[in-house]
Amino acid sequence: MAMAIQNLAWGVAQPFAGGLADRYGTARVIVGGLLVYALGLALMVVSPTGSLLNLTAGIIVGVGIATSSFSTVMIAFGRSVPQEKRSLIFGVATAASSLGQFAFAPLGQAFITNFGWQSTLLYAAAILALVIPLTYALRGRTERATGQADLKFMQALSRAWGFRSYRLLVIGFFVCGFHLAFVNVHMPAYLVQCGLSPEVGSWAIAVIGLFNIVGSLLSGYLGSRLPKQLLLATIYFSRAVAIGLFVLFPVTEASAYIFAAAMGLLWLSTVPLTAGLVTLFFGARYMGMLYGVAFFSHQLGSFVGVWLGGFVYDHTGSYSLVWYLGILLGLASAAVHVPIRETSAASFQLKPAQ
Amino acid sequence: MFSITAPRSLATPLIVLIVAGCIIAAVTNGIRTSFGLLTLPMTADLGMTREA
Repeated sequence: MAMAIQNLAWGVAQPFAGGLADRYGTARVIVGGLLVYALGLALMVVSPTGSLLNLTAGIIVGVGIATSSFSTVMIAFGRSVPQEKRSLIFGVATAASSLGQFAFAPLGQAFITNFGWQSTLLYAAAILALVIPLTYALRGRTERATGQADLKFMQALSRAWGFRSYRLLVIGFFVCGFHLAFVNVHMPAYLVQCGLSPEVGSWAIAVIGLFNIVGSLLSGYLGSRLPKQLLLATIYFSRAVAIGLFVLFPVTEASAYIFAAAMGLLWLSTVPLTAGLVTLFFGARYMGMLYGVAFFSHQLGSFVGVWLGGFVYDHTGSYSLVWYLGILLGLASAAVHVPIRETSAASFQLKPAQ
Repeated sequence: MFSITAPRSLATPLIVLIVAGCIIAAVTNGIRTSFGLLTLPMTADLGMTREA
């Protein structure tokens, strides 16, 4: 439940983190986020009950992630390059996140095995504090673009929600969160249940990260050349196929790694395309806030994926129902993305003077 | 129309911004994605179910 709450807290905090970064600058927001994130990790060590973990691992860490992770870093990246290169630069940020996943998964497992989970959390908090000086390079904030309306939070949100393509994008992004969070949190335990060692789980997470580097860069590159909505539909459809094949055949070490590689290629490759569409619709001025709203939907999906995985396992002794739901949602999300149009929203442009 | 940057005197060279941002993204996401590895040891130590 704590991990599910963490995903939800991340989603709720992301639009506000984005809005703050748009207004006050990314560096300040990320410094605050890193401190909150580190505090949350340290407090997890002294949280012996579910309720306390919901607060520390859930809310505090979730808010810390929202204000310090790649979604906020992408705001700084987005305002530094022209529109035609944004998809690619978002792909670079996403690939870097995946490199972290690839490096930290086996490292984390080794630390847990050798020092215990409590010490591992404290080391992780220290590492977060060490990267704070790097935020200096990300200082600056997004200025209003020429010809673009200056809107308040609710005004911008209301106009954005009136734009059909944005609504479809936000709805489809829910499924991305569902897949990622369920696989990330429950797959290691699922593989152990299938008779594999915990190390296979950690290496499977690492393989996802490794292949996601390729997937993110590729989607960023393709997103600047092909219709982003069709690439997104293809990604969600391919995820449904990958999950279907994984659950159809007996789970072995080889099939776990093949599935991890396939999911890795499709993992965060949705992010550069989704963020690219949001900036195309509304411009970089509102990217932090409106991508944050889309990301809230993603995190709502993450919450459901993590919570439902635990709920279904505790009540049926199996994850099968959630895997099947993942297939259905993948197909539904692919269908939702097809009608999206790559055009900017007229309601975000200044009307000519009368 | 979309040229949106910090004032030039405050701007960081693009490559520095990208490298710094990528390291921050890698560390924050790397730690977050390792939480799944904590599920088994934490639930065992604290006597919790996976739903809790």
